Amino acid sequence: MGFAPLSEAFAAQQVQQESGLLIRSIEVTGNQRIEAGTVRSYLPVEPGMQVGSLEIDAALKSLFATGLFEDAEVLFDPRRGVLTVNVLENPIVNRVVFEGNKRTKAEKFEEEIQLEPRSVYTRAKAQADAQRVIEVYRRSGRFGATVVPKIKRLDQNRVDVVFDIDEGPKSGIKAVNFVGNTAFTDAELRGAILTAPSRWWNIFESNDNYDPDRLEYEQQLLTEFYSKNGYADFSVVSSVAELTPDRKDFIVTFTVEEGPKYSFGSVDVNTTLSKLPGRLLRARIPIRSGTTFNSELVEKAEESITFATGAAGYAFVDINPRLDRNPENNTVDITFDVNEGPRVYVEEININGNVQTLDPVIRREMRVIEGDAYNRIGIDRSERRVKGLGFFSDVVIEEEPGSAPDRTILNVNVTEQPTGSFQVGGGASSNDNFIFNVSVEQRNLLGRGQYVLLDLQAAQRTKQARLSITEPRFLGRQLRAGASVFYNATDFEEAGFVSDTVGFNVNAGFPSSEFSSLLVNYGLRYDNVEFPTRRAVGQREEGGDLFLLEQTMDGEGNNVFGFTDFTIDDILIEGSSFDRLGDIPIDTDGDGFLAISNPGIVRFDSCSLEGQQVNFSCARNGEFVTSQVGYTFRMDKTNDPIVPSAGYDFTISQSFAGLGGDVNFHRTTIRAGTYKRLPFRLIGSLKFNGGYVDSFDNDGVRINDRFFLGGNRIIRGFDVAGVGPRLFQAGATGRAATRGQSIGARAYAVGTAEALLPLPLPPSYGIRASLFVDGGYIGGTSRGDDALFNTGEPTLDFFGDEEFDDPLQNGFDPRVTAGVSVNWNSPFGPIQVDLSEALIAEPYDRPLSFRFSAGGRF
Amino acid sequence: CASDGTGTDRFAYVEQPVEQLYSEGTKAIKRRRYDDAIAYFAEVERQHPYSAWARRAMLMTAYSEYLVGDWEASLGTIDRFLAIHPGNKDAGYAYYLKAMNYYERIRDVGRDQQITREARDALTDVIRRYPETEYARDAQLKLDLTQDHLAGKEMDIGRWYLKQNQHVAALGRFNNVLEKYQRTGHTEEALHRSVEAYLELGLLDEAKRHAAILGYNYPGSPWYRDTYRAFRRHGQELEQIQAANAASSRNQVAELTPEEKLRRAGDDVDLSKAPEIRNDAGGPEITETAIPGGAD
Amino acid sequence: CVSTRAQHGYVVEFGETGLDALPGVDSKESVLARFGEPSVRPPLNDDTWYYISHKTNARAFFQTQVYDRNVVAFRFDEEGLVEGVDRYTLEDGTQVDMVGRVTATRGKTLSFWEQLLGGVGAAAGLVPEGQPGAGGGGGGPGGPR
Repeated sequence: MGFAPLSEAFAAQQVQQESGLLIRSIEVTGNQRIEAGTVRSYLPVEPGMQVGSLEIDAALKSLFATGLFEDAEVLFDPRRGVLTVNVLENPIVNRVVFEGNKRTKAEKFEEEIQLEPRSVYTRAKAQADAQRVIEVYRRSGRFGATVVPKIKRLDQNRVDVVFDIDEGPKSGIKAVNFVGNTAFTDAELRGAILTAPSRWWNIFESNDNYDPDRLEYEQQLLTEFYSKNGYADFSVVSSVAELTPDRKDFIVTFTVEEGPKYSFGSVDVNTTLSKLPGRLLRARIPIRSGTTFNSELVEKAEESITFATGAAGYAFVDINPRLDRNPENNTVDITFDVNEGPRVYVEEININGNVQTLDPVIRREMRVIEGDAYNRIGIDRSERRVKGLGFFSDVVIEEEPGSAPDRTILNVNVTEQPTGSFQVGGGASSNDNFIFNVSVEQRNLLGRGQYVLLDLQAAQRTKQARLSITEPRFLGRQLRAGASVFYNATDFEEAGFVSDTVGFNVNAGFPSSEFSSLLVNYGLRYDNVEFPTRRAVGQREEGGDLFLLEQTMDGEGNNVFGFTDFTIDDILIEGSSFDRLGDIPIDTDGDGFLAISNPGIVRFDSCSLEGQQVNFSCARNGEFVTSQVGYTFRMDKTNDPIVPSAGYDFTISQSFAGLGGDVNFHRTTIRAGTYKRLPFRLIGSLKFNGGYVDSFDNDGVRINDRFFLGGNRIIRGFDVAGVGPRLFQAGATGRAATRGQSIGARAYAVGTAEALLPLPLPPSYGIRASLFVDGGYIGGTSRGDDALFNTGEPTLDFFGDEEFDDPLQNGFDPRVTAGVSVNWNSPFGPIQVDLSEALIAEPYDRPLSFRFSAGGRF
Repeated sequence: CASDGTGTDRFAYVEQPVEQLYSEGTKAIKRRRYDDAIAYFAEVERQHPYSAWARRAMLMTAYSEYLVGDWEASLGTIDRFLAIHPGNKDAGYAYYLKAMNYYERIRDVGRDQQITREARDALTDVIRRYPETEYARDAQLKLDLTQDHLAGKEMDIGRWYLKQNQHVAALGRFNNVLEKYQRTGHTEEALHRSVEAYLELGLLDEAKRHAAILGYNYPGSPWYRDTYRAFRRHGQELEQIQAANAASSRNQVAELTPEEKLRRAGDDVDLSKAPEIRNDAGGPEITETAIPGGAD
Repeated sequence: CVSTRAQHGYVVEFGETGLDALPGVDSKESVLARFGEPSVRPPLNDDTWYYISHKTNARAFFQTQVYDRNVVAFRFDEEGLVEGVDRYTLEDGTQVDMVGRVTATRGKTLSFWEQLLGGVGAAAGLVPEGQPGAGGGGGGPGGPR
């Protein structure tokens, strides 16, 4: 399809200029997919209009603007008054292929680029997409990547787009250096910023590639770090990243100018608010003259002034601090100007992005109500509270002008994140041939902010189920109410152990003050522990007593069951019951023997045999109901909930059983800690853990309700339940060598002195190491227990120290251990390792020098 | 060749006549096998990009993607269609399908209403561009329901504030409904809730005025019956109280000076900083003593 | 236990003359200029403006109570001049039990499994049911004609 030869086209051009003839019709040629009507709709000219070079030029521009055409030509034939528009359509993309991308998969690019199968191809789009692919590489630290877009022409004006990629070396960070820093060492400054040198062993570090915008952000981090430590004039002169000669890595160098270290000079407030003298506000400011300058304190001061003026009845206050440096004595004087602010009210609060969470669950966290005066502190606090819900990965409160000059609209924009987890597991264990468990947890049930946990476990011998629900705003109040129901059953009948436990617990808690919270709870539990055993029995006559049988030989020498002269009732204690399994054979022929094949069987609890009550296991046997009420009071005045370095915290929780039910005890646990910064940048902490449990009518505390220390944070360096009173019984063969059974302590009082070591690792790793000394008294059993356990067992040498020892070891004895504890907030959950040595311990304790635990709430 | 993710590699390069491909697609839709339908129509477009079939296939792809609930893909296909065939006779259907892609995803009033607003704009677009078509008639029905839904959101927030005794905020939301959503089904309730709020504030005349409007416009409405009952219970009561209050000289309580207010306020209390409420008294960390009789 | 007090609605700062106006002299414009937008401005008839402020007190887990409220109502005549100023306090109000009934709304609600397994809101794979406004809405779009 050739174009009109130049001369004729030129001639046609000539004629128009003079006469500007009218267009009678427009013809469209060369279009394949796009209809003529569509092309005409894009033209600024229509039949019946004048046409001249201006209109033609405009037509060409609008055609190209659509991006649909590779080339276009507009010609006017004055004789027939026909305007012919000749177009060459852009081809259609058939496929988009990436070649040479080893490190990054194609999907990552496909999200970024515009060209996709069946879309229109233009050279401009191809170039733009190539740039986007390069950008993807830059973000993952490959600055040497080059991308060349190529096309392969196919029939019917279709093309395959091929991006030819050369990835180039990955540019990591060889080193991060600082120039001009005298007050702080390079290591300390590295702790303040994110970029970290890339090391092979550091697979989790995501900030070890070169990212220009992160350098920008880090300049701000450095400035904040310095201005918090007195360097008000601090500035980052330059942050330069040079490529190493082998072009593989970058060396990042921050040149800084620290300036002098300032301390606070005079601090005062002058205000124009009537009847509110400045000195009153000055009293509220947490800055003392002479202390090191700290920009954070200035912000805190602003916050406390805003609160003070608000409490005094002024809602519209404008506060701006003025800093005057006097270089001669390196002090900074601060004056807070407090004046009347603009009167603006919040007209509407719109919550956006809450795809799962219900509107009220977020709105109830807001400190600002529609119609209230606009105040910055309320909005910041609201943002913090909504973030505190833990349902959103991002929370931003933006302001928008309202319907009137003194009205503003707040948009609370949240981004939801998954809040549930659902695990199904199966497996086999030594004593069960299969284990199957399902656990479903949701922290934001149906968007109502409620927490639900369902845990089911079924195995051949053990079954467990637990359901717990928590409502943070019970009855619409600031009251967190929770309830949980649990059931577990173990059935080891062949080992003579069957136990069922079912129970529920309800609790309610609320913040009793800004630094303390109180929680009350009630729990009801039914336990049934049995040690089933079986005996063969027979009847002498119909409906008679059940006599115990024993294996003997009858006259002809085959094994038979012979009657003994004891009935089942003789060997059981008064009033205990037994069940008959099947019917009991009768000695019809009266010869005193029964066939060995079918003895009668009865089953009963082995603890109901005479003389067994003293047996240790029987101490927790039978059916009993525990009805227990308690409370937990927590006071926390530390400066940081996770790694406190100042202040103190204190927790006391008590529970009382005996309100109904047949178990009674009162149990108290106390935990206190005080924290302080020590020289050499250590953080010292002194902690105390105490506990005491006793029954009301001192008939002894059941084993389940006692303290089993060891294997947890209270005293480190012992095996699980490895410290505290133990009961020894002669081994099956009469020899002494048994481990003994931990029977739980009734009281403990343990102190801990710990020093958190300053590690050179940046905080982003979440690794903390500390030296500790745990020491205290543990032990003691009640008078009732002593009577129960002084079984007259032979005193034997239980510890191989050739001394005869009492089987019941329950002294309230001292233990001391020391060692190193390492906590790592790993991506798989909290991991903790304790290396320790038991300096003072009782011979019957079970020290453990290396202990590893993961996932536990420590 | 790299499959473009819609399972077309099964059909790739099997050159089939376009009519057959297209009819396979429509059959797949009838048999509710929408993924196959999408694949067939994609093939029609790819192998015969310039046929009239390709244009119709694009619309059918968008329709199948809509049916399978892949809203974003359907919207993408519609935009591609409208970019190339803005003037086409089927463009009306394309705009209508676009509106439906939002309309289907409207969430309950407790959650984000961004999709509802987009549905409202898309439906208004259909009515504005193609006023006389049956798309416009159906779009108008759905537009009324979308407006009703947005009014429902305002009421949901208004009721919550009223329960919290925040009358200014509650009345603000009810007034939004009375102003912007007058022709929806929520106007009756907005009027009644306003009466409840004004009664609680003691503004008897304003309450009477809103009750009159409710009675006049919606005489049979159950809300009017509630308003009438609220007046019967609180009408005299308020009149008596306010008469009594007016009679007894209002003891103007001297307003405290800011200094006194500040001294009484004490420190700033932010309960959100209170320590986490944990249930430590759960019971001792009991370890199952070894199963008795187990030899050591 | 500790209680937190909060101030809501219109703010009259100390030292300011309270909300007042001279009937027949002040007009809507002068009131607007002196006191700004009213807290509540009934849309259906604009002849009364209300400036409302109240104080609440929240203690531990008890319900938040309003312990002080001031309502100032400006009544205007047809020409927009102030006709009268009425004042109401907390004592002039009462407690009204809200009617439980709610006008029904539709829209896709969130199901438990949908929330847990992601795909929030999108009924992936199913033919989209749960048509909002099924009544007037009629069926979904038919295929293109």
